[in-house]
Amino acid sequence: MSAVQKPRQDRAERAVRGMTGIPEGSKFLGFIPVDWRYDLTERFPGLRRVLRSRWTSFLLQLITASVFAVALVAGFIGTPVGNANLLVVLVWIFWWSALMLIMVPFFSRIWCALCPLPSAGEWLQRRAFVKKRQGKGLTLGKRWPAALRNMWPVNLIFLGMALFSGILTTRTTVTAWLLLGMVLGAIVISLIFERRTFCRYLCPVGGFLGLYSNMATMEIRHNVYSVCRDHKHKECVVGTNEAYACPWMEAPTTMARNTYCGFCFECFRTCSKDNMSVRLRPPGTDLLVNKNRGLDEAWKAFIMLGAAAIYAAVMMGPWGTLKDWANMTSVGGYLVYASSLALTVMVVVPAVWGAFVWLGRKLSGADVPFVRLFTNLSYSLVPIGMLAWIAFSFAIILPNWAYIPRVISDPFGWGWDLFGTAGVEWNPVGMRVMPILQVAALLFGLAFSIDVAWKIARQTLGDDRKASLATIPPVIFLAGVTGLFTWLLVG
Amino acid sequence: MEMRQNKRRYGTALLAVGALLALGVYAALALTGVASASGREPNVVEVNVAARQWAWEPGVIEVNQGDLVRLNLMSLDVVHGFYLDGYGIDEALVAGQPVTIEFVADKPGRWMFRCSEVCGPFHPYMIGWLRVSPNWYARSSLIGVALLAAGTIGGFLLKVVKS
Amino acid sequence: MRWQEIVAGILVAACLIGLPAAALAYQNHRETRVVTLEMMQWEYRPAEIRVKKGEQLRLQLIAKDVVHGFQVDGIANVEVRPGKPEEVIIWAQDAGVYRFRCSMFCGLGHAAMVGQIVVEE
Ligand code: SF4
Ligand code: SF4
Ligand SMILES: [Cu+2]
Ligand SMILES: [Cu+2]
Repeated sequence: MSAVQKPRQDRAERAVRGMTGIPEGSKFLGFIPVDWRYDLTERFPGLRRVLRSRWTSFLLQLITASVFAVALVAGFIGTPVGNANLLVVLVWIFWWSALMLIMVPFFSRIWCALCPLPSAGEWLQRRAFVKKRQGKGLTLGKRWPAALRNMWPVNLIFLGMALFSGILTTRTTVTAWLLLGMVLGAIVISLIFERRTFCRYLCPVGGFLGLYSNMATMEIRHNVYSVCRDHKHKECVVGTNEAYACPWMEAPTTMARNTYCGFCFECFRTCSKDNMSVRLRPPGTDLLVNKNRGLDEAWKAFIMLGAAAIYAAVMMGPWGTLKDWANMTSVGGYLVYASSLALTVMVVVPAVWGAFVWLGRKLSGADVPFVRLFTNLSYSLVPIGMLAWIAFSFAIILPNWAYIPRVISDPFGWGWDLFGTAGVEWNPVGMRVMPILQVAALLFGLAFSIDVAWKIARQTLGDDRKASLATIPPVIFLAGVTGLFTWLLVG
Repeated sequence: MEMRQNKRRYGTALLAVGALLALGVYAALALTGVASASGREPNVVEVNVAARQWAWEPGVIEVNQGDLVRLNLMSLDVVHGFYLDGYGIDEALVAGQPVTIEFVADKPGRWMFRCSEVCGPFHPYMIGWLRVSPNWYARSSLIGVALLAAGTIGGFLLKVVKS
Repeated sequence: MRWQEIVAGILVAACLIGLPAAALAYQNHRETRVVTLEMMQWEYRPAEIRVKKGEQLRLQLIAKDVVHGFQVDGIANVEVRPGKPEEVIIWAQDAGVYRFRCSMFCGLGHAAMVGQIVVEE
């Protein structure tokens, strides 16, 4: 128990070096120590009490689910004009911007604590809304096949959806069917498979939430490592009478990245030692974690980066032909669009990136396997990807914010005026600062990505000289990508 | 100890790059300001712009800062609107009825013109670009990119040479 | 233990079924006084509206795709944008057939976009 007397040192040591492979003394952009933490649950004991309550998660989900229920009805029978329909405005303007600009970069997978999609499935599976019910739940409780315990299924599902994004974001019923389908899918999956298998392995949103949450400035982790180590009966892993084992099939004791932690707070309820904590930290910390990296996640990074560029071109670009293609005006055009989108994100981006990494490996004369270097360095595409999406999302929310108060007063587009805001005029704000915000985001993303690339190279190659040489070509790639986004968004 | 020093140097390098970056942006601003001030005769640029579901033709219009821009706008199918980011111009375009707008392109940069009358599903994506040179937003971004890349690569090379 | 689940269940039912149901009820309640006229390329739905002489007709105009117009000569001429429903109140004082048509050019079939209000004795 002596370790408890020096919790800070113990925590820093375990969290940063022992478990994660992040070299001691690393600093975010050379300024903020990567192991800096601000423990919110320690500072605000009230927060811990709130999180420990089983009602917290239930109420959070219920609130979003109520809005979602109305929105779904609006999607099916409300006005087909997307920007006057609660569902489309809520999902593709409000939720998307909030997700990309606030939730993921600052609060990790906090969305999954609010998400209404898996609630029905989870309630059925547990045969309970709030309290834990003893005995078998309503599920076969099967484990997800080992071969699919990665991001590949999500990558493919997301790609499938991405091909229809033009239609999806503009047609109310398509969005409604998709979301209803996800709710039903989550129910079916939860009846067959254990816990949140749907969320962890099948939710198309979950993939990028997971990968991009590595960027977040918030994390849920164990507090003092030795407490976990000495606790032989790991309640967070097996569950207790009052609370469930981690629904996301993580081991909260050793969890090193945000990727698959859905902020469900069960581990706060299982842990009798109150050893779980919510903490603030410097951004991007998990990208440096030398554990569980894989090609599946690398491809997720390629898909997100490529998709950001393509959407910027289709949705914010001046090319009518592209828009016609994405809108399925002609079958041939659509096929050209869909296949080039798929080819770009699945083949072209990874191939070009691979070439640069290969060059770096040759330059440095490093003898680590190419695939390892390629996989690891791919995580340096996450910051620039995230910030490109942020820059893109500015161009969604700032011109179109006015639709939000409008649909709040008139959710179905039937001429209601519940709160007196139905008449808010469409009125873009901040158009003159938008390019400045976008440029700042892109440059920050580039610096961030370079920083991560260098740290990963050093971690992988274990040698400053080699790492320097190996990082040069990827830096050129990253600069090129930033240039491309500059042209698409402000050029 | 050696490792620690390296790290400190790396931090300093980034600081230096950051400072350079700020300088570069400042220089770009100053230069473009000077360029636009050094009396180039403003032109009158007249462009016919057609609106259709859901694109502008031409999609890209290029002018120089200070030019007098005259746009002859006409919708070919349904009611559209012409809204110009940054300038706040907003005109409704009824099909078949030409509308002419005139303004001085005094704000450099790339601005989107977008449809302001809901005109069908792809209405939010009905966007064109007005480029008012010199586009210092893009320029300072590219200068920043170049500085960041050159700075880090230079730093890497230095490190290699030293070791 | 048990009561908490019951409270939660009631909350779920109230929110997930109650809210949408309340919304629909609100709309139906309105429709007893209001006629919703949907305007789309290139028709009005319904294309014929029947009222009794002396009745007050509250027309709720909704453009479903692009900007349309609602014009009854000498009585009303409204431009309706998608997503911005407009309301027209017509007091049917004289019997007869009143034709309305689209007054905003809205594409190929624009000219065919007509309908009528029949005021019966
Ligand atoms: S993984 Fe997907 S379905 Fe599950 S909570 Fe997160 S967003 Fe919702
Ligand atoms: S129980 Fe698992 S998913 Fe939930 S907060 Fe804890 S670690 Fe994250
Ligand atoms: Cu339009
Ligand atoms: Cu019409």
